[in-house]
Formats: sequence, C-alpha cells, structure tokens
Amino acid sequence: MKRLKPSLLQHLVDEHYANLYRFALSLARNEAEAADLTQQTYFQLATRGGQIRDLRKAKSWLYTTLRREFLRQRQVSGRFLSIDSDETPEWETHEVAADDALRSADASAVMEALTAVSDVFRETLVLFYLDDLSYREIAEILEVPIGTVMSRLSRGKAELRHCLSDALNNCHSPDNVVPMPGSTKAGQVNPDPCPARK
Amino acid sequence: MNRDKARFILSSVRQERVDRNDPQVEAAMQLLADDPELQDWFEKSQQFDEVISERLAEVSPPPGLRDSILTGMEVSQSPPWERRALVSLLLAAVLTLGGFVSWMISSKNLNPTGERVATLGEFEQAMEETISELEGLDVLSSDPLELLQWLSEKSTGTVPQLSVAEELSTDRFVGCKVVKWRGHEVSLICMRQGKGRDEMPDLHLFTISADAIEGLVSDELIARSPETDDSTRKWSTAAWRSGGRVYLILAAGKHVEPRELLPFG
Repeated sequence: MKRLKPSLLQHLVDEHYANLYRFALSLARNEAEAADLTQQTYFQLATRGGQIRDLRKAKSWLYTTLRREFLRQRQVSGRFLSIDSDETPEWETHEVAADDALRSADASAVMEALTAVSDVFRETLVLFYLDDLSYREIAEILEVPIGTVMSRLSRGKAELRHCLSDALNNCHSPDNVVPMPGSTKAGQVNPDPCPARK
Repeated sequence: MNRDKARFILSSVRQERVDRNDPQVEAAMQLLADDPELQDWFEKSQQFDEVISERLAEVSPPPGLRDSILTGMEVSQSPPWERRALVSLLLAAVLTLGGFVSWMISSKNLNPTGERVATLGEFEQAMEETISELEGLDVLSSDPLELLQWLSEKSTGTVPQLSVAEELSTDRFVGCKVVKWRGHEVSLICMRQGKGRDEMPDLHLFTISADAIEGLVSDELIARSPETDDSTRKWSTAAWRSGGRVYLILAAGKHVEPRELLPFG
C-alpha cells in the first residue's frame, strides 16, 4: 500500500496534533485517553494515509478518524443523537453571567464548561472553536448536514454560556476544578458539573 | 430572512473565516446593517466566540506527545525487505483470487467487482424507499455546480454527467447525498419541480454505475407514470443508461417525460 512520505507525516503532526489533542480531550474528558486517541489517529495515518486521494483533505481525515476511533472504543455511537427538537431548553430561559464576567473566564473554566455541555453539542462546538475548520468540513467530519451543524452551534452556544456561568460561580469549589494538562490533578474530569442540564 | 433565522445562521460565523462566502451567510450579514439590535447581538456573540477560541488554544498537549507520535509512526512503517515479501505474498493471493472470481462471475449474477447485479425494478423500488425514509441530505445547496463538485469528491463513479446551463434557475436545487445500496454507491440530487423556495423537494435524480443494473440498453428510456386511479403509486419514473451510468428520476405526480423536468441545461 502507498504510504505518505516521512516529511509529510511530520508536517501533518506539527500542524494538527495540538488541536487534535484538544478535540480528543473534549470527547474523552480524560488526558491519558485523549493522548492515546491522538496517537492512535496518527498511527492510522502512518499505515493507511496512502488512501487519502486529496491531501487537502488530510486535516478532515484526521478529525474524522479520531472521532471514529473514539466511538469505536466507547461503542457508544448511539449516544450521539441528532437534536432536532425546536423546543426551548429550560436553561435558555435562565439568566447567565454578564458578558464581562464570561470574558474573564480562564482556560480551566472554559474547559470545564465545554466538558459539561451535552455530547452532541460539545463535539460541534469544539471543532468550531478550534478555528481550524470551515463548517462544511465540520459537517463532513460529524457526518451530518450543514443545517444540523448550524443548529447544534446555535443551541450549543446557549448551553455553553450557561455552563460557563455555572463554572464561574463554582470556581472556588475544589471539587469542580477540571484538571488541566500539566496540572497536578491528572485524571478523570468531573463528568457533568453543569447543573443546567439536570 | 427574519431576525431569528439570521441569528441562527450568524451563530456559525467566525471572524475572517471563509464561511462568510456562503450565500446564506452573506444574506444574514446584510441584515446587520439595518438592524442595530441584531448588530449588537452579533458583536457580543463574536467577542464571546473569540474568548472561547483563545482559551481553548491555551490547553496544551502533554509534554512529549509530539515526539511519541513521531516515534510511533516511524516504528509502524515496516522496513523495505518486509514490504517486498508482503508484495509477493499479495501477488500470489491476487492470482488465486482472480481465478476464483472469474469462476464466480460465470456462475452467479455478479459484476466484475463481486457486487450483485440488480434489475431496474429492484433499483426503482429501493430508491423510492430511500426517499420515503430519507432523514437528511449530506449537502444543502441551491448551487448545482457546488452539488456536482461535492459529489465528484465523494463518489467519482456516480456523478451525473449533465451539463449545467449558465443562466440556470438555482431556486430548484435543494441538496445532495451519497447512499449505499447493495455495495454500490448511489448519488442523489434532490430538486423541486417548481421555483418556490419553501416547496418540499419533489424531483429526485439518482445515478449509479451501469455495472450495478442489468438489462438496460444504452440510451434506451424506460418511463412509467402512475395511472389516474392508482392511489398506491406516487412517482413518475424515468430511467436510462448513458456513459457508464444508469440514471433514475423520481418525480411526484403524473409526467409522461420526467426528464423534461430536470433543471439542467
């Protein structure tokens, strides 16, 4: 099987591995698993990357492969359901912190809020905020129509605002701190610290 | 476009992204100039997005992950002598399989790639079921060139070979999708018979490799329309073979020549 040149592989690692890790962390909510998913994705690139006909699509291929690998490992593809309801969720009617307060949020609070957002919105939001992909590419990676991406972004941002507001309100609670990479508290992230969805 | 729809679309817009070239985004952006409240919401939304993007970018991968990835990839690349042995083995296997497949083709109803050949009737029935159970399209666009481009990237062998007129009414295109049927890829373009943008798609063009369908002669048109008193049959159909592809139109209602409904040049 045709393989990609080592120089090209290295370029694809340098260019995308950090954002792929961030995407993996948002899916897995666990540093070790996120690193393993990222490594697995590049292992597949090394062995099957020759199948990529158009190298401009390599970036989308990496994100798609990582997501599929995550779903395969968890065997929970059924958990990722489309949200088509037009009903306004309860949290959309609640007050959220002022914009100034939201803007003051640090990376830890933002990551905590993102990990608390519903699965179906979280993966779309993270791909959007990585600022690396057009929404057409996001639709391809998630294998959904563009309209679904827009819908998930619109609704997901509202949920994110609420979760971020909660994360800021609880920022002094040690139980709710999301272990950030490099912190001394490595391990499992609080699975659902956002009371908005309860 | 109203304010709610504009907000919905503008939620997907990032600063200085190529997404802004999307016609729907452009239309929503035009509303901003005349709607101060929407403009204010959009500016705050963009500031919020910028903060989240910046904070997300601050999350660092574990030290050593990059080197670990590079080393892992290097190890996974097998040395040249292993590759030569593998090629020899594969060659022997291919020759053996070749003989087996030839025997299969001569004895069973298979095409050269080993996929089962179907009748046009089976294909029609399956595609009618596909439309009735359709939950969404892969791409939504009113631009036929964009749809054909996407299909050509997704499924080279099933892109309709149809010309697109320069002054084409784009109001009639809705979107496209690639579906799998019996191991074959089938491209689908959904359109409207009328020009109303709010109308549901009621005209569908399927394209499949000619290898998948038996008993259809080149350029022969097979068309059927529902009888007046037939309440069970909804679609008029037209199928023909051309350029290594089989085309099938499903058009709602009674039409003698559904091909004339196609909004291509």
